[in-house]
Amino acid sequence: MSAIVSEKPARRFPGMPIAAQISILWLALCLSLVIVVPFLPGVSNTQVNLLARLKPPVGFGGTWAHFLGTDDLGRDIFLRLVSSLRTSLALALGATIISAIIGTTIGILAAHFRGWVDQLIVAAVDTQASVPFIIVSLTLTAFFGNNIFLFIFILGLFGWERFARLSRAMTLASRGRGYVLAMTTLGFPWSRIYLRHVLPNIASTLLVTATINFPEVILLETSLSFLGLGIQPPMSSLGNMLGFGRSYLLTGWWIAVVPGVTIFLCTLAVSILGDWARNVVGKA
Amino acid sequence: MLLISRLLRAVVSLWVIVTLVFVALRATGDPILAIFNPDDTTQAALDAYREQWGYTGTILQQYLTYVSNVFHGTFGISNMSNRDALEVVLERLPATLQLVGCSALVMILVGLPVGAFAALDNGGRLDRTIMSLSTVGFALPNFVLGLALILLLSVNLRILPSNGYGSIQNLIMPVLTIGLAKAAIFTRFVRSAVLDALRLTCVTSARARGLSEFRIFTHHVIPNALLPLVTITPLLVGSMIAAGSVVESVFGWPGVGRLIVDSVAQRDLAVLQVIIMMVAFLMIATNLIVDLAYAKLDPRTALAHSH
Amino acid sequence: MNPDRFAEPVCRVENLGIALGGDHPIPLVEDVSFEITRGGYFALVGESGSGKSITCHSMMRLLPFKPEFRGRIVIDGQDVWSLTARQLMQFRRKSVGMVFQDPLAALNPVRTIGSQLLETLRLYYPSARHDELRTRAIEALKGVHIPMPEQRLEIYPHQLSGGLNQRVMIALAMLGEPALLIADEPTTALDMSVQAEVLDLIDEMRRQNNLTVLLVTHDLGIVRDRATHIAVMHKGRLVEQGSTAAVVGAPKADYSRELFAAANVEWPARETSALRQKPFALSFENVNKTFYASSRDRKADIGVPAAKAMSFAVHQGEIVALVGESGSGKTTAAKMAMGLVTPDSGTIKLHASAGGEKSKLNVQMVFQHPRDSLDPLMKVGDQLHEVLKVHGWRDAEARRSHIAQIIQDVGLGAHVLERRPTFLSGGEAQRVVIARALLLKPDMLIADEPLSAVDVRIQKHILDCFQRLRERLGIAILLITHDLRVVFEIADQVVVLRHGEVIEDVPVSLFTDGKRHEYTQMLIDAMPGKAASEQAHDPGHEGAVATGGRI
Repeated sequence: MSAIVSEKPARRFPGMPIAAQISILWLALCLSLVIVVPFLPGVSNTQVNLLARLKPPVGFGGTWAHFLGTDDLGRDIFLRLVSSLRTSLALALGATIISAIIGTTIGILAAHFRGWVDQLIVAAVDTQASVPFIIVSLTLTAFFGNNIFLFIFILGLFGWERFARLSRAMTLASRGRGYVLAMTTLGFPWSRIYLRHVLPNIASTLLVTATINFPEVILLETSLSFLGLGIQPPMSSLGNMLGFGRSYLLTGWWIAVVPGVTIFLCTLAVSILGDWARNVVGKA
Repeated sequence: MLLISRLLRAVVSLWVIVTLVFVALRATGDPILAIFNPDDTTQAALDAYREQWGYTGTILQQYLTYVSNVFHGTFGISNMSNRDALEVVLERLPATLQLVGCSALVMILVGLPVGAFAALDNGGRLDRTIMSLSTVGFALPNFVLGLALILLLSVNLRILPSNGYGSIQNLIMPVLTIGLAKAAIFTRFVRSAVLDALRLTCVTSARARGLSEFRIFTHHVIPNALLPLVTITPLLVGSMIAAGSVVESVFGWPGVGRLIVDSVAQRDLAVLQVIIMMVAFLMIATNLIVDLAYAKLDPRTALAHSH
Repeated sequence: MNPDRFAEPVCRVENLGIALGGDHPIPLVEDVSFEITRGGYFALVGESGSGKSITCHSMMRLLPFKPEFRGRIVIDGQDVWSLTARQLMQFRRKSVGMVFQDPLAALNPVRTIGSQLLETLRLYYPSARHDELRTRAIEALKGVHIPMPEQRLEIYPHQLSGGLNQRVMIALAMLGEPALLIADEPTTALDMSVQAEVLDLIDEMRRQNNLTVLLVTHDLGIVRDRATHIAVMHKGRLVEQGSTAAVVGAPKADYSRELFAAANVEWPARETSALRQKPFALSFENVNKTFYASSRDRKADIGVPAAKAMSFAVHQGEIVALVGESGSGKTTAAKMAMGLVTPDSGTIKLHASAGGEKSKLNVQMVFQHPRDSLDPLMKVGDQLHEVLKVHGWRDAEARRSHIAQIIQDVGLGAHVLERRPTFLSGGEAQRVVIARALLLKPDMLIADEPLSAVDVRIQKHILDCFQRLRERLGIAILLITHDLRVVFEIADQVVVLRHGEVIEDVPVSLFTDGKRHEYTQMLIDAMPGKAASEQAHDPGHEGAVATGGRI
């Protein structure tokens, strides 16, 4: 009946595991390349050089002039990789932010209004969760034609149901929490309670969800681009780079392997960080 | 009572999806023009098709005709092959079912024991190794894994054909690609379900009574761990159909997944709507079955709905 | 029989130390030693977090983590922590039985009662036929007085009440005819009226089977009534142990002295009629409220009544205690008074204040879990400032001095303003919450179980705080509680609720005059500790009751 809330000992911030440290280093490297490389003088990722076609990377018979090799048109793979990485990371980051905002807003609204609004939102969330998203995005692409704005919209939609479900559940839980109840009785307006008190309290969990969402958006974007249904040339992303490289598996395997490994390392790094963050938040 | 309400909900979900597809079709403009190329079809033929497929009259009439067409399995003509869309999709279905079925088998056969072992060794070396492998498996895009398998097994070692359909050899790589990727995720679910079950007081109380650890695992941990797994499994199997769209393209597998990609590229809306409804129908049907299975497995729900 | 056999200890714990392993081991239990003689009834008493549950789980090696273990535990002649896995299994089967706090959780929810009984019986009769085991299972259920045992075998734990499930648990624990029964808070999850029955059953088992009982509890009342020996745990250490009479009569350690003193309250002879003459602060007239689980239940009118024609009043400057068990509707009444829940019918009036300058009384609420009712991320000072800001206090200096004054009023130092709620003790947090409620100068406070989450020694301070507020500021207080001790301590008027009905509304001086409703009488009688204290007190002393406090 009368449970006693015992004083929790202040938990020492757990040391970061080595894998998470490496992940942070890798992501920092990617980000700095993406930002710095375009400003270097005299580099062009679209420079065609038919004399230097299909040069292998260093260590497989290539030279340091093109240390990751060149593609079928003699373009430098490293420079193409950096520009593709920029597209992919920017899309994934933007899309995660958009879906986090959309989803969280919807979730909080559902928890606030309850009743039929809530029922409707929950039904929509359940439906979305039960239909594989890639099928939805392919369908939308087919119906409305392939263009970059629709593509961003589709990516921004990805994962909204996860944020919505989570923020709804946590808002409902915080409505039962004493501090929200107390603030209601003290005459706080709802907007203030949600923005100043509930949101900061659920933010860490939402952030962890974002780290789960982020690699999945990268996978979705690269999958669609790989299939030729996402980013279209002349723009390039990791996915369509890999898609093109696929035709050269026999003659120039590195064209496909370099972006493939990069995608893998990026999603792996974010997933490892996500796991770590989930552990930290879960323990706190 | 339970069965009827669940069936009703399934029917409503289906109806919502049919309606959404109709709305999307109308929103894209004249569906007849979208399906048939006006350059090589005469106006008279277009009007005839319009009449035939019920795109005349008010929106409501068109909607009713559409629903009735769907109900009768008439979805239109595929503009890629000029054949009945349903027929086009149905002939691709066995290949996909074969792929998904085998992948699901791999997922369960790998995920269940591996996840359970990880949970039993919670925090130990085995657990950490399994969890690291699972993270790698989750982060590895299936087209990258697929291409890596092709590079290794087809290009370098020349053991397996890089694409094609029909023989066991053709099946191995696509099934491994999908099955292992999903097994990585499934392992995590199994692990956390088993861990949750291990922490139940009823397991402690069984131990206090002196039951053997084996008996506790088979009779107390597993029945409780199965419940959450039953809900997650169909979602994973559903996502295999989605993964199929990429993997079938990589391996040249003539299934529904590749058909989706082709018909999106060709804007073959007739075929596409068949696939959407088929996937939706499959998902709703499996969810229905899972709900009923859950009610059967968990006495608490069965009772909660029977009065 | 050899009398020495009774003196020989069934269980001996020597210098037990348990720490959470790791690079920096966290000690949970330190230097605990005790003995339980055969046939004894040993009570291990302590607050939650005192290490009592860890101690009793370590006696069966059931700890949920890998501990660093020191000392020795010998039960029924076996050194528990040096047994092999196989021996340990035999030990658990034959030497000790265990009963858990939440019987529903301790039984497997997806298997029938019968299958769990049969599976355990199979351990003792490996070669018995199925119907033979079934007969034994029915016998076992009969032994713990479960009606219709044949039918019960086929059903699942959730279909039984908490009390019956606990009986099943006891039956399961007794199947191996153990020498020692460990009962870990066996009544905490049960209704008050069922608690005594379960304890009686344990007593009966003890008498019939020459059983030794180790009872782990936070309820001092149970201990006084039934235990032969008491050990008090505090912060992982045993601070006191001895025979019940010795420990209760003359506790030696500071902690246990405060513990028993706080649970001993003299019946007050307060004159309260003057307060009843004052104008109303809050009144409930014929208020009805029913909760339905679903819309279908609403149509079929199968609901849980939280208020049935509920009428009572709080006068200005009066402290009214709203008493009831969980599910009696007392929290719903508070929420309706605050406007958080709308009643189905009836009127709830907040009357005009005495000055008449405001149309409505200003009512504020104090919640059950103080730390939970503060935003965990914000400093206490900022939260108090925010309340005033929302109510239009623009001047920061004015806010600061107002807050400083009120913080002093509730007996806190200014340093708490710089802290986050996590770093407040339970008592400090509760006083911060009271201070926050006082910021808006309320005429009335509604306090929902304000003591249940704080240490028994802090409870006294909080009650004093309420009393001073009433005296200094004339604030009316509606105190919602399940603990009759609060009533004795400060209430002027007592309202008893049961299933949403007011069954008693009397001044505190008439509460124990013996003419009360039978349910009220049951509550008073069911107060564990009453029997023991009556023996201790002069039986002729009219109206003197000591309650069994809960820690």
